[in-house]
Amino acid sequence: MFSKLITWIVLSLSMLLSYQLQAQEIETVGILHAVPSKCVALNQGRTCYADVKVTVNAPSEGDYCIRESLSKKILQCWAKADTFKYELDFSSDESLSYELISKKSRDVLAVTTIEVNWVHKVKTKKRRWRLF
Amino acid sequence: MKKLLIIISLLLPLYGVCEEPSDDLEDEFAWQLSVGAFYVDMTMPELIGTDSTFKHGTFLVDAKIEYKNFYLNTHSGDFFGGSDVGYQIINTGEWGIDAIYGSYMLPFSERGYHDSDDVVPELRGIKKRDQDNSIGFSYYRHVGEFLAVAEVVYDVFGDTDGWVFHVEATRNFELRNWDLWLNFGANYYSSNFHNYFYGVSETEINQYLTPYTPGSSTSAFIQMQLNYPIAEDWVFSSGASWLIGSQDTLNSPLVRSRHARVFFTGVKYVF
Repeated sequence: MFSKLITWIVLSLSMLLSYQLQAQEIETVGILHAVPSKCVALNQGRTCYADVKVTVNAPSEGDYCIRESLSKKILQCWAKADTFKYELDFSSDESLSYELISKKSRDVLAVTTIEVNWVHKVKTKKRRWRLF
Repeated sequence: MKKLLIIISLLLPLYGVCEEPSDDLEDEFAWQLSVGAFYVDMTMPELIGTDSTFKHGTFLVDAKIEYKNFYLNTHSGDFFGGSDVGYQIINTGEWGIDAIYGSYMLPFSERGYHDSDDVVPELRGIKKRDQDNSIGFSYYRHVGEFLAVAEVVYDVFGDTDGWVFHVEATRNFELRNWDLWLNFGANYYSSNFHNYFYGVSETEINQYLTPYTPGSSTSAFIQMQLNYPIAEDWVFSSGASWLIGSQDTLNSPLVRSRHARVFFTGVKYVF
């Protein structure tokens, strides 16, 4: 009886968690949109990896580029387009922002940020293993 | 001997031979608490007359508290559970020595591994085997990608009057956001230590048990654990562990098997 109760609670928790994760993915679509917008690593300072889908819905057709805000490194450019997608292989130990820029003027049209978070803020002194 | 070790263990925190602070030595208070729901499938070394397998869903709590060189880890969510209390005496980053407190053997009684169970006829009349309360030293060193550990502990606060030598190696594989821990090693239990748990004294004899005085014993183990951050405060965790005692373990009239294994899987919320 108790075991069944625990099993139901575990299942309910899993469903709740699944719903939360799904809710995190559903966001309003803007000019520059990245999904997921959060990357979670296990420990503070560790590189976080994510396959991020970047969607661009520009107000008008033109030549655009996506670049990393900090390094200004161009990731990809598109010619005569207003809607396009880019798959970003995200890997960083800190939050990074990405910009949609006009290829000609270099004006920043939109910015999106992928946040890096950690589960464990405490780095344990020891990872000891106990058998008996 | 016991008194001397107690005095040494009490004085150790005052000694504080901390060399160059390393990456994992921060002079501040830190804590972490996690609560998880797990499915656990466990088989312990089989005591006669008992079913030593346990399969159930359960809530588990892990806590980590650190202050300066002290650390306390309780981890019911990892394998067989237990707590570790330690104090870093020396830590150079590459190697170190800790004073440690912990238990190295599971307690049992005439009710088997769980005090809430009925008395097992085959075990009726045996004295309770309390868990050891061992204190000693842990020497650890990074060897390539592995962390090698050697521990020598004496059951200062328990009744075994024995000691344990424990060696293990641990390696962490980071596979993108996944963490895979691999750990293996061995234990050497002194005669007194082993005798306390698996010996049978004259006063414990019944129709199933004959007197038995074992010598020292050994065991070997391998275990692994997989962790994945599924959300900012949630971690999926799964692990498996196998332990095998040396052949002489089976000479004890108290046991029917010398294997232990555990598998667990679940999610935990990290505060």
